[in-house]
Amino acid sequence: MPATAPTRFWTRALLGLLIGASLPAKADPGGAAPVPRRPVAVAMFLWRGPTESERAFMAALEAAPGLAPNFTVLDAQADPARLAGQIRAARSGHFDLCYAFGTTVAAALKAAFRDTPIVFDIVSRPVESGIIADWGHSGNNLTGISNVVPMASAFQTLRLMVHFRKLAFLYNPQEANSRIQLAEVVAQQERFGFRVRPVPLGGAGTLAADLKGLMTSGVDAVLLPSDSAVLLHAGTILAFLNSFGIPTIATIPDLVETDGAFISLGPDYAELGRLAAQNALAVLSGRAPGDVPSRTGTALKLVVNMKTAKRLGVSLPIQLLKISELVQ
Amino acid sequence: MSLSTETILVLRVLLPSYCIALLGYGLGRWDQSLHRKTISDLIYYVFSPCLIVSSLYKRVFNPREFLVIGAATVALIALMFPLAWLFKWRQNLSGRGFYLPVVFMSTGTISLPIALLLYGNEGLAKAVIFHTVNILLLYSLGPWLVSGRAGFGPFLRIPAVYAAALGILVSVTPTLAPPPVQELFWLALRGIDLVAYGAIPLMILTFGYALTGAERGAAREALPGALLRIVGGPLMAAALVWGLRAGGLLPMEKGYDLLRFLDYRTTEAVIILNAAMPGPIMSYMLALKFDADPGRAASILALGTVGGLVTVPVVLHLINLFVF
Repeated sequence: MPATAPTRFWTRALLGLLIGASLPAKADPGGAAPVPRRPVAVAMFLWRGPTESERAFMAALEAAPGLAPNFTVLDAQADPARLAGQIRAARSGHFDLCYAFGTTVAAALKAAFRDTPIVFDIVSRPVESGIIADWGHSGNNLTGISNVVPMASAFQTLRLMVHFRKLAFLYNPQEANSRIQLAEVVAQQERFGFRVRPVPLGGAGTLAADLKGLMTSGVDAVLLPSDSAVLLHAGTILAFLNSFGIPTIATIPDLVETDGAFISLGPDYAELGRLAAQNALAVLSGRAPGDVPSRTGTALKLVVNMKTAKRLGVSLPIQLLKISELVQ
Repeated sequence: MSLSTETILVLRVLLPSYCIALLGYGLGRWDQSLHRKTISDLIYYVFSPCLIVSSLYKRVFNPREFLVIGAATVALIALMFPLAWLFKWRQNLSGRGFYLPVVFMSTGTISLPIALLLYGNEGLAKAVIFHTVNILLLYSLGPWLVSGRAGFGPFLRIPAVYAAALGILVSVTPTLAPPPVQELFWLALRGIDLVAYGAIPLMILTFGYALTGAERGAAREALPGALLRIVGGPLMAAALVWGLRAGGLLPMEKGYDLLRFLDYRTTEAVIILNAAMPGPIMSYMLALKFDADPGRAASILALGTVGGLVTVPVVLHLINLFVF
């Protein structure tokens, strides 16, 4: 007996319901029940533009489930007055978290913000420079990641290829972190058999004179520490040193990749950014910043600029070639 | 076929060295009148010691590294001796000339240049430690092995021993003197550096020149000894390196400071490289001096050296693959 039209309608509807119920639901990118994403205001205080570290930090926070970070990037462009102005402006707003790049910025934020959690990154000596009291417990509203490089290892890296007797150390004397690194270098000179020539950088106005003075002292190699002034004038400094065939060892990998320093022994900035994001997430989940341990990266990396090596006439030992990142 | 950067580097180091050795060989074929003794004395008393001082004073003396490399050298020699004895016994060979070119390695002439050119000053300094221990044992145990007589006289007349001591002394007391004395000291060291630069090409040239004097006969008898040296040696060293890793003396963990990892791997490379070397020319000299079957010693040396032209690049390639 042929089914009537209403019967066919109800049969199809019932079948449709059954089939529909048996099929998996269409994938919802936010899950079956959308999880509310908590808006988080993050102030990114930078010293001289974003690095790989900030990019990795921001990407990691954006990928964190349940968070809707809103970043306000404040680039001081290596100007302390500008940084002070940005801090004043930020204090009148509301931020759940502050990110601080480098020792100068971290120290300024520490003085300005007593309650807002601060995650520092790329701070070479956080304990010695007074940013935190202890690696395990900061004793304040800061936690973060250090880019510390043992100075003895920095010399040894350069010594793998170049023998030097007079080593220049370029630094900003106003920066506590750089003074600490200088003291470490000086402490090692007897053991390693070289003399350190500290070259304090005055600023853009006196840079040419500083570099000229460096040349007249007859140095064999130059150490570029993790320092804001070095970072700011890296292009000019390295163009000058490379033109005179003076080998350079940097503790900031960026200086090799973008400015032509010969070799660097330093941490992977992207890894540091991801670690800083982990600390930030711990703080945003409710832990007190003082209880989130500050850390270093898992391993240092070697970066060699092959163009500079060729210009210096230095041939790289094979073991260095095997484990270094080569910039062509 | 594209070659890796490391392979190209190995070839760039080995090819010029082989060309210089070939030049020395050609020179020997063309003119045998060169006073070989004078040249070898110059290397032995002047160039080689300067190279040793030059490589050691530039770096920080590390007693642990000295102990690890020194112990590895002693172990490789001690392990090779019973094997050499077994081969000698199996082949029913008479005379004691078989031992030295199998047990000891040519750690000066071939290994030092390769270590410097491939692994830089770090590699050279480590190779110097190996070389120093190797020759100390060669000069002290060598006469006993070929003659059955022992004596410390030759041991105390090895310039390399004093050069190593001087290099270490300078490296541990670099800046204690007042500045004017330091300047003079620095100038003296620059002079030593200059002589050291000349040591490597001269060593390779002399090595090529010496090959013209090798006996071509008795290859079949010499083959097991030569193979034991250039194939068995690196295999034994690889096993030793594995043991040092397992024993925690050469840890594999990269850790935070990459330099330490690099240092351990360079030590391993130098141990294996040296173990792959053919026998030293000195073993022939000692066999000659004590009339302990010098013909057989020369044959093993020549065969090992020619075979090394093939096995050493292979060993270097394997080091690149498995050590670094």
